[in-house]
Amino acid sequence: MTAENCHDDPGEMISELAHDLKTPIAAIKGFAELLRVRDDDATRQEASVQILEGATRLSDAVDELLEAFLVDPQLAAGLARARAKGARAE
Amino acid sequence: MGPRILVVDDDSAMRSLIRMALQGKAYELVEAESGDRALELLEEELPDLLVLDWKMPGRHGALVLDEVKGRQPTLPVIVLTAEVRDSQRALADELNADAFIAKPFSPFELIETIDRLLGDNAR
Repeated sequence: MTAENCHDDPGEMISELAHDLKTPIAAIKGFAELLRVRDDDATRQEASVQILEGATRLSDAVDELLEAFLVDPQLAAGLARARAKGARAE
Repeated sequence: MGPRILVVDDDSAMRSLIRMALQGKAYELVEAESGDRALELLEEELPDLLVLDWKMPGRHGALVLDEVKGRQPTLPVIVLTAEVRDSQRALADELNADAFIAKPFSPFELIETIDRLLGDNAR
């Protein structure tokens, strides 16, 4: 999936985006939760590696998303509508 | 040896997280990095429960779930997914997934779900 063909199947694009963003977040969040309750060297070592790698993957995914917004103004308009909807709900 | 859990996820970080979360529990862990490998291990390792990623390259988690339930209808399967579409969640339900955990998830929620599904065999 690329910015050029991302509108071909909006449902699949959203699914891919969710996967690319949420999977590294899952690693970061999960290992952070383990660190809260475990104090052993093995957990600290593995968690630090995975949290750092997760942050890098997440940053790369965000960069791809930002590129898509630059290419397609419809995406930016959609985000603005979603945020306005969220603000009204609050 | 305690119950055997087959963890199916193409993401090595997820497999590592689940492996570390279950340390200290008397479960035996087997890992598969793909749906195809999971189906091989299903026959070789005879797991007592599956933790199954939904969106994987190659054989999709839905196809794995369908095949697993066709072969072993009573084998508990926990689906892990970042999927946001209701249609995909409904599909997992139709295919008789026993539990559905959304990413990002708490490893302790996963442990509780595993313990609950394994019932008297939980450790």
